[in-house]
Amino acid sequence: MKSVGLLLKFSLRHLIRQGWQTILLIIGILLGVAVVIAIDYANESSKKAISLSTQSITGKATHQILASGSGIPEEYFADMVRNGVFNEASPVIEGYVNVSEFDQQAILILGIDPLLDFPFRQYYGDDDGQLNQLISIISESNTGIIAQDLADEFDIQLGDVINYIFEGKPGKLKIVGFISTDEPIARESLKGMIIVDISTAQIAFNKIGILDRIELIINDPNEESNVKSQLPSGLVIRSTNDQNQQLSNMVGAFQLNLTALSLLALVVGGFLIYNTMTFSVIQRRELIGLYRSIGFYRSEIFFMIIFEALVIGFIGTIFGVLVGIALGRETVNLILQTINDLYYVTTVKSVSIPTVSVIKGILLGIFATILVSIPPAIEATQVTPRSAKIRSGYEDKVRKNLIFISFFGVLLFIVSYYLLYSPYFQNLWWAFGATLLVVIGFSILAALGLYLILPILSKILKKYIGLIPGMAARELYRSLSRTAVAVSSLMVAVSVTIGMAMMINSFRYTVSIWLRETLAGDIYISVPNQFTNRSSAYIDQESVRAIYEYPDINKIDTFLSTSGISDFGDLQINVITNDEIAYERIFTKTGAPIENIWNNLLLEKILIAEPLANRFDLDINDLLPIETPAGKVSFEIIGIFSDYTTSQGYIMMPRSVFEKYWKNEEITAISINLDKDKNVNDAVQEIKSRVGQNNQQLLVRSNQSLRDDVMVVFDRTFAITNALRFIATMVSFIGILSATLIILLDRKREFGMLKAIGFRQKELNQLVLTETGLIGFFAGIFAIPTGIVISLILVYVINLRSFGWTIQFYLDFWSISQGVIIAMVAAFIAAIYPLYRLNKLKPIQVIRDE
Amino acid sequence: MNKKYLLAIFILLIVISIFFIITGNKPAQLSGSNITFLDDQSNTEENNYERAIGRMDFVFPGDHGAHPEYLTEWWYYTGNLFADDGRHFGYQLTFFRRAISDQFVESSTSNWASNQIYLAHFAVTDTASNQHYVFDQISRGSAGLAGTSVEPLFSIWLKDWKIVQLADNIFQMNAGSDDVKINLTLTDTKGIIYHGENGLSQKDSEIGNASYYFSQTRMETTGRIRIIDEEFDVNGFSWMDHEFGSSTLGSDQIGWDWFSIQLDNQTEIMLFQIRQEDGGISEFSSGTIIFEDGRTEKLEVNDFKIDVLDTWQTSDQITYPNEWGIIIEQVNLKLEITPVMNDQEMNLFFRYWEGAVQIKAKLNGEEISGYGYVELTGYAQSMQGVF
Repeated sequence: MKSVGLLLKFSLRHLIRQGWQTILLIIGILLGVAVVIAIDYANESSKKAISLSTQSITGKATHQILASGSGIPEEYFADMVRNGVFNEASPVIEGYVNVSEFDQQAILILGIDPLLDFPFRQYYGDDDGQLNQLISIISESNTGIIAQDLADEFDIQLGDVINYIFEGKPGKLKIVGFISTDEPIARESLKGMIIVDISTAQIAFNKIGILDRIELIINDPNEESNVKSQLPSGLVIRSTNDQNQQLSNMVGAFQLNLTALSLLALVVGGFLIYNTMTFSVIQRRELIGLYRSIGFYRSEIFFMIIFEALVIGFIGTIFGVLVGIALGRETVNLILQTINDLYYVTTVKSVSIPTVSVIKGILLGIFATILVSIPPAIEATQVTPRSAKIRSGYEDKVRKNLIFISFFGVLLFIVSYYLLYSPYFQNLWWAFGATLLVVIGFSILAALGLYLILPILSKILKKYIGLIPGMAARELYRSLSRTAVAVSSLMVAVSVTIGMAMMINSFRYTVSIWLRETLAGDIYISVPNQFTNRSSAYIDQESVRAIYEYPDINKIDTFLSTSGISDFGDLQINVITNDEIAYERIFTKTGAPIENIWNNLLLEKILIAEPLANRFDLDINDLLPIETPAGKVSFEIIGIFSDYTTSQGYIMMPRSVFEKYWKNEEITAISINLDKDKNVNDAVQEIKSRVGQNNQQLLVRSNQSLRDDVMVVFDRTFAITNALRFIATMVSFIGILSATLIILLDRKREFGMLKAIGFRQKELNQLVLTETGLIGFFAGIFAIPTGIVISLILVYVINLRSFGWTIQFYLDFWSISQGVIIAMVAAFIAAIYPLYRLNKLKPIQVIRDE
Repeated sequence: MNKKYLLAIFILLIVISIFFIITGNKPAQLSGSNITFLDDQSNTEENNYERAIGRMDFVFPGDHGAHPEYLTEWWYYTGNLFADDGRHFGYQLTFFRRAISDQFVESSTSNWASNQIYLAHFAVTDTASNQHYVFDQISRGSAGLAGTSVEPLFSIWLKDWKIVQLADNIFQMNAGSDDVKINLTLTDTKGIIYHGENGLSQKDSEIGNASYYFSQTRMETTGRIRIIDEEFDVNGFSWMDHEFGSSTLGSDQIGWDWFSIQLDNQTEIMLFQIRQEDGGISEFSSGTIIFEDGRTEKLEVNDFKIDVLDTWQTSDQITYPNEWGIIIEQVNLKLEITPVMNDQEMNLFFRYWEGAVQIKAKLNGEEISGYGYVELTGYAQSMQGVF
C-alpha cells in the first residue's frame, strides 16, 4: 500500500505543477456546482417561502370551503354555524397590501374573527389569556396586530398608525398588538402579515357581506361528508393538502425547468472536466508507461486518475458551494418574483439555506467529476510500457473507435426521439434526459465531422491560403484524440448557450406578436396590483361612471376576472363584453367559424386558453363543469386560443351568461377604443385626471404602454433563465480557454523544434492562431445545429409540457452568431499566454531533452 | 509537502465555514407564543354604560332580549330532570353577554362589527354515573353568530345552542356537543318573578352597583337528554334567571353563593349571599320566596342564615363549600342542601362551581324535599371585574 501512497503523492504533485490546467479545471467544476446549488437553493427557498406563506394563511386548517366565482355570502356561514354543521370553523378575508412603513414589501392582511380563529393558528399560543387580548381588535375598528420582529425591523411602536395601499386605495391601520412566537416556521410566516378583525378586513377590501373562504379543522371523515352534504351550491370543500398540492404542481413545473437547466450547466462543466482529464491522461502516457514498467498495477493507475479527479472535484465543489450560496441568495428573489408574477403572492422573503441543497450540490459535483473521469482513467490503464511512447498507436485506435462511436451517436438520437414523442414518457425529466442524449449524440457527430473535414480542409487551406494554415489543420487532424474531445466538449457548452438564447428569443417574439394581435383596444384601465401581473381587484363604480362619461369613446368593453372551481381544479374566469373577441384572439382550434363565435358564446358556450386545455386535457366540444351559485353547470368549449398571460389558463364567457349564474356585476378592467383621429396619449391623460378625483388609484395605460409592461414582466420572468444562460456561457468560455491552452502548452516541445528548424516568430504565431481559431470555429459551427435542436426541444416539448404554451419557433441569427463569436474569442484569448511563452522560448531549452 | 498541509488546512477551513453558514441560520429553539398589546384602553370604563338605577318597567318579550347598553348580562337556565326510571339529571345552560367597548358600532358597514361578546356554558350532571359534562362556546354578538331577538318572540342563540320562545310561556331549548345533547321544552307556570325592589337587585351600597334581575322559577320541562350513546326521555323543573347591569360587585366583594330551590310543595326560594374580602357577608345579600300561588316575599340579609356543613376540595386544592344548612325563621323553614355529586365545577374561561343539589326541608315541622341549583363563585378566582 505504501507504493499506492507514493503514486498519489505523484499525482498531487502533477496537479500542482500543472497549475493553470488545475485551476481552470477547478473553476469549471466550481461554476457547474455553483449553478446547481444556486438554483436548488433558490428553488428550495422559494418552495419554503410558498409553504410558509400558505401555512401562515391556512394554519392548522385541514379543509377549506371555497366559492366559485365571487366569494362566499357571509349568511351562508352563519346559517351553517347555527345549524351546527361545523365543529371548528374560521372565516377568512385577506388581501395583499403595500405598507409604506414596511418599505413597500408585500404584506398579507389576514382578516379573521379571533374567537373563531383561535384554534387555527399556532402563533396565538395555547394560553387562553391571549384570547382575552385578541378580542380587543374586535372592539376597535381599523386596528391590527403585527409580528414583534416586523415591528422591531421597522421601528413600529404600539399605537402607531401605518399606511397601506390596497388595490389602488389607501388605508390606515392602528397597530394595537405585537405577536411573537419562538416557533421558527410560524415566526417566519408572521413577519409577512397583519392580523385584523374580519370586520376591518371587509371594509378595507370592500368585501361587505362576503367571505374569501372558511377554514375548517376536521378530524373525522364523517364530518367532512356531513359538511359537504350541507354546503349551499357554488361552494366546495377541499382539503388543505389538495389545495396546496394544486399550487405546488403549478410552481413545480417552473422549478423543474430551472433545475434541469442548472443541471445542463453541470453537464457542460462535466464535458469540460472530461476533456481536461482525458487530455491529462494523454499528456502523461509516457509517465504512466513508466509507472507501469516499474511495477504499478493497472488498478493502481486507475485509482490514481480517479484520485486526481476526486481532489480537483472536491476543491472545485467546495468553492462551488460557497459561490452557489452567494448566487443563490440573489436568485431566490428572482425566482420568487417570477412566482409572484405567475402564480402566487408570497409574503416570506428570507429563508435559511436548505442543507439539502448544499449536500445535493456536493454529492453531484464530486460524483459528476468522478463519473466523467472514469473513461480517461480506463484509458490510462490501457497504457502498456511498450505502447506508451507511441502516440500514433493511440491516435489509430481513436480513429477506429470513431466509426463505432458514430453508430452509438445515431442510436442516441433514436432513443431520444422515442423519449420525446412516446406517450409513455410524458414526465418532464424524460424530456430533459432526451435533451442530454441529443447533446451527447451531437458531440459524437462533431468528432466524426472533424475526422472527415480536417484532411480536406487542410488541403484546401494549403492550396489557397498557405502552408502554415494548412499545417495547422493537418496538425489538428493528427492529434485528433485531443482536438476531437476538446471541440466536442466546447461545442456542447456553446450549444446550450445558443439553445437557451433561441428559446428565450422565440418566446419573446411570440409574446410580442401575440400582444399585437390581442390588444385591440386603445386604452386599458385596471386597478394596480403590485404583486401579480393579473389584477382581480374591482374598479369602483364611481370610477366606472367617470370613464363611461368620457366623450370620445367609439367602443368600450368591460372585463371581470374572477376565480372559479371546476371538476378538474381551480380556474380563472374572464368575463367579457367584447363581441369582437373572436377577431382578437389567435385560435389553435375552433368549433365554429370566427364570425359565429360570439353568438355561440351568448348561447353559453365558452372559449378556453391553451394552457388550460393542456392542463385539464380539454378539447373543443368537451364539456367543462363549473360550480356556480346556481349549482354545477357544464359549459361546452367552442374554441381554444393562444395565451401567455398565465400558465394555468382561463376560460372566457360573456357577461350576460356569467351574470345569469353568478351575482357579480363588478368590473376589473375596461378597454376603450377611441373615435378615429383622437390622440391616445391625450385621452389617457384626460381619463387619468377624471378618475384621479376618486379615492381609488387606477392604472390608465395606452395600448403601447400596456404592451411594454407585459414585456417587462416577461423579461423579469426570464431573468433567471438569462442568468443561467450567462453562466453556461461563462463555463463554456472558460472551457474553451482551458482546453485550447492545454493543447498549446502540451505542444511546447513541438513548437520549440519548429523554431529550431527555422520557423520565424510570425509564422509560429500564425500556426498557433490558426489552430486555436479552428478549434473555436468548429466548436461554434457544430454548436449551431445542436443549439437549434436543443431550443426546438425546449420550445415544442418542454415549454408546452410545463406551461402549456405553444411558442412559435424563431430562428434567431444573433443568438447563433453569438455562440460562434464566444467560441472563437475564447479560443483566441487562450492563445495569448502560450504565444507569450513561445516568444520567450529558446529552442535549445526545448530540444535539450531530445 | 508544506503546500499539501496548507491545502489541507485551507480545505478544512472552508468545510468549517460552510458548516457554520448552514447551521448558523437556525434560530434558537424555544417554545411559546406571546402577544403584547397596547395598554387596554378598551372602553370597559363602567361609567360609560347604563347602570341599574331606579325602577324599570319591564315589557315582554322585549326585556327577555339583550340590553347592550349595560356592560354584562346573563340568561341562566338550570333544571333537575328525571328519566322514566327515576334516574336524575341536572343541567345548566347559560348565555353570558359582555360589551367589550362602549363604542356602539351599528354605523359600521360590516355585519361583523360588534362590541358584544357572547359566551355560553353548558353542563349536564348525570348523577347515576357520577359524571359532570361541561362545554362552552364563545362568539361575537354579530354576523348572525350569536345574539338575541325579540321579534316576534324571544330567542337567544350562540352558534348552534339556542333557546327559542314558541309561545307566551313556552320555550324550546337546544344545546350540546356531539356526545351530550339536550332538547327540552320549558313551560313557565308562574310568570315572571322580580327580585329585589321590582327587579332592581342592589349588590352594594353604591348607587348603580346593582342589577336588574328577574326569573321564571318553575318551568315544567320535558324532552330528551342524550349522553354518549344513550338517550333519555326526561321531565322535571327548570329555573330561569335573567340579570343585567354594569357594575354588580362592590370593590371589597369577591364572589357570591347563590341558591335556587324548588320544593315539592310548589314553593321556590332564591337566595344569594355576597362574600367580602374580609370573610364577612355583605348586608346586600338577599333572597325571594315564591309561594305556590306566585306571591313573592323579599328576604333581607338578616332573614336567613346559611351555615356551611361540609367542604369539598378540587384536585388542585381549591375548597368549595359542599353542604349547607339554611334557616329562614320568618316562614319557619329549615333546609339541608347537599350536592348530587361533588365535582360539578365549571373550570372554563372563568372558574366557578355550579351544580344540582338535593334538598331536605322542614317547613313548620313537616318534612318536604326538593331539588335546586347552587352557584359558588370567587373561590378559585375573584369575580371582581369579571362580572
